[in-house]
Amino acid sequence: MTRIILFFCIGITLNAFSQKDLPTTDSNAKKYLDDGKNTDADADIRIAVTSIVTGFLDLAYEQRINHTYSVELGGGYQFNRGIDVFKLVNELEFFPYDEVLTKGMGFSVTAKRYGGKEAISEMTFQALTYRNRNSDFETYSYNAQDIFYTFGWKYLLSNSVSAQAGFNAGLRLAKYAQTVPTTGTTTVIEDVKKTGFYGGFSAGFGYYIKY
Amino acid sequence: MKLAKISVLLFFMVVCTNTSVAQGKIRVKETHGDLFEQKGRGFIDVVELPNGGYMSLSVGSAGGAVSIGSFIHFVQYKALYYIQRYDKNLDLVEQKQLDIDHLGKNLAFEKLVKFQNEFYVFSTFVNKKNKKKYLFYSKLNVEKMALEGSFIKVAEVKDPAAKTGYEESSFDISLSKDEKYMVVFGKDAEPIKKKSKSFFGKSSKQSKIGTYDFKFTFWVLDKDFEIVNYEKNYAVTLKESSDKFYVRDFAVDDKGAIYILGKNNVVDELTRAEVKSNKRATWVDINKSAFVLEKINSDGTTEQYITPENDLFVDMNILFDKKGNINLVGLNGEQVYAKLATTGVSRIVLDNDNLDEISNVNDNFTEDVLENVNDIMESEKAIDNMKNGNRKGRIQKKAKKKLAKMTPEEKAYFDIKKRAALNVNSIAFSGLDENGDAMIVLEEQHLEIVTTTYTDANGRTTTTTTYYYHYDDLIFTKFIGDDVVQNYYKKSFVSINAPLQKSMDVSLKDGELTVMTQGHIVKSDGDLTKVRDAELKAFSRSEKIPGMKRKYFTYRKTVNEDTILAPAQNGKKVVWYKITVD
Repeated sequence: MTRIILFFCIGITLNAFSQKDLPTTDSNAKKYLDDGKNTDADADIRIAVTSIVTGFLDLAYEQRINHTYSVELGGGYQFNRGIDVFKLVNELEFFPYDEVLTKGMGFSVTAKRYGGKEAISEMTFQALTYRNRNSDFETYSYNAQDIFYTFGWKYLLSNSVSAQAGFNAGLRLAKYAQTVPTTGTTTVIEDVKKTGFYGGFSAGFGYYIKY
Repeated sequence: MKLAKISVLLFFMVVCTNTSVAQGKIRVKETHGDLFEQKGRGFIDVVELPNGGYMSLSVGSAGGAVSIGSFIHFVQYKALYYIQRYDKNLDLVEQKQLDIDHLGKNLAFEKLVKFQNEFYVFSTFVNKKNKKKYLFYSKLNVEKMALEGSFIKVAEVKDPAAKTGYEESSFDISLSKDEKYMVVFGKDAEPIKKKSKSFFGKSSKQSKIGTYDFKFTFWVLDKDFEIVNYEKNYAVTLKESSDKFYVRDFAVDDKGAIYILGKNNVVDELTRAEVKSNKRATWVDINKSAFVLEKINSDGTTEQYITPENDLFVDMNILFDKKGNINLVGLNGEQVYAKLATTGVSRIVLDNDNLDEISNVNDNFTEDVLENVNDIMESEKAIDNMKNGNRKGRIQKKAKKKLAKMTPEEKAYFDIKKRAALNVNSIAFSGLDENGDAMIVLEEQHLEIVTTTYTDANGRTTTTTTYYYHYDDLIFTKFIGDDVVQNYYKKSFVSINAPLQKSMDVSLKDGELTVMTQGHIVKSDGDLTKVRDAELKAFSRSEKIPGMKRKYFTYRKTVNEDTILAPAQNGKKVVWYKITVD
């Protein structure tokens, strides 16, 4: 009896060895496509690095609408006079430049179109932006409304950290106003409007969010 | 990448000469569809649909790039694939983008495969985290012109994701003759050992697989896409031998067994003394150039066949006859310094079960074929006459001078010219006709590099190097029983600075070969007594298409035994030509 059981066991073992261990096809593609990278992000929160040069700290929130389009809302706080080349070009000589910045704020709305159905991840994009920035000094204020087109690039630097770079070109509608504070009210004594070119290079870093 | 290649071809391909000589004329019917604007840039495949229409795939790109100076580059590109459907007259019915992205990941198109009367799109994804490249398939709904169902993972290979110093990992897909089995070959990305020096390697089918020695993995799938045969990191080896084998060809038979054709190339390096004593300019001695065929059955058992030890083979292909026996059709070679010159053809028939040799037929090229394809000049004939003691040559003095100036190497090449087709290094086409007779088509190809230095009036010198890719005469051979018949077709074609993606298309019907070359259709008789041709009007500048100023042909495909399709393109404007041989 023992011999029969032993023979049976050896037979099963040999049979197991003779059969090849074959892999199978797998319909669970997600398992193989998951590389940790957030390439299918729904939104992107981004800080504009180049805005720091102009004295603004700009934060933007980009929301994907579909695989081609997205909208972006941005808000900015001015912490420093900064260097705004296009402001310097349009500035008027009679304004007092030695004044201290008291308050600076801004907002922007952007519509973006991505190529290759890659919104909002790693691809080139075209964008149209309206941006409004206001800088208040002691006796005068400066308001800039920029409407510009951007051709840019989006990159995924790590799993969720993104980078954006773009070249801008458009129009700036600027308004200078000098005020003299009086009791209970403000009197505008000078109000100059200027229209000019706006453009340049912009870049920022963001973080992709998947809802 | 494909787009870039096509662009290079469009911009740099310049035809220098295109001449041909045939032994008669044939009739060819050329029709074309309506002009349309294609989405995408270049075509990557075209297939015949069961309803009699056609379907093509093209590739384009989205994105853009800007460089600021030499260091700052903004680059972002993505390949986009498009699918076009045509009626039987090649008039466009519909075209749309084929989305092969899945779960937010960009997959790369690998191949369109018709299997069990359905079309499948194979795509790949490199997962940097897992350091692997995966192969997926999904069913293509031809009517909806879109993928349907899920993406199913078939195979995987190691890929360190574009790490420098590594060869690219790759997959290759092939079907059995009865389309019951599919084999997927996978090659891991491996550190680069040595680069191929050949400008003209095997055909594109083997270009990924056949260049290096490596371990490979294969998956054999049945008609239900179940894996029935699989080996990981397989290497072709011989018992008691350290020879390395380069995989040259692979096939799966109607029983799901896989055949791997490996070539060994044992090269002895000569010592400095040997080179000096033999007055040899080269440092290698080709002492073995054999092929080994390994059959791996579904149960894992293997059979092996090695070509005769003293025979040197330049190239070899695997064919299956109706009985399932294996036909190894090859090119015999003879060493001339570092080169293996092709002197003839051979056919070895092996039993399917045990790889026992059933027959072995080989034959050297005939004098008539060699005289024509090697373009032996009158002056060379005169030299030959002199060497044979016959001093009645017409240009005896010139010949005497030329012979005296020849180096030993030049003399060796001069001698081999009478026995070998010097510019034939691979089999361009091989097939079996209805009677089981094997046919081989060979094309002379060689690269000529010309470096020119100009000095302008200011004394500045500029050196330019031009690459002339020559695609010359064809040699046709057919094995009828134990006999070998041969013929040739004289042609000359040069492409400057860019090699052709495909130099010719061949179809085999009723024992007759039809070859489409650059601007000509060449047809052989069943017994190769005559090789005739027809000039294609489609390729002629005088054949105008309304709305298209110029025509460029960068792609063509033999869709069945009688029909070749080729798109004439000018930018986005396309007209598909249908060429039918009567």
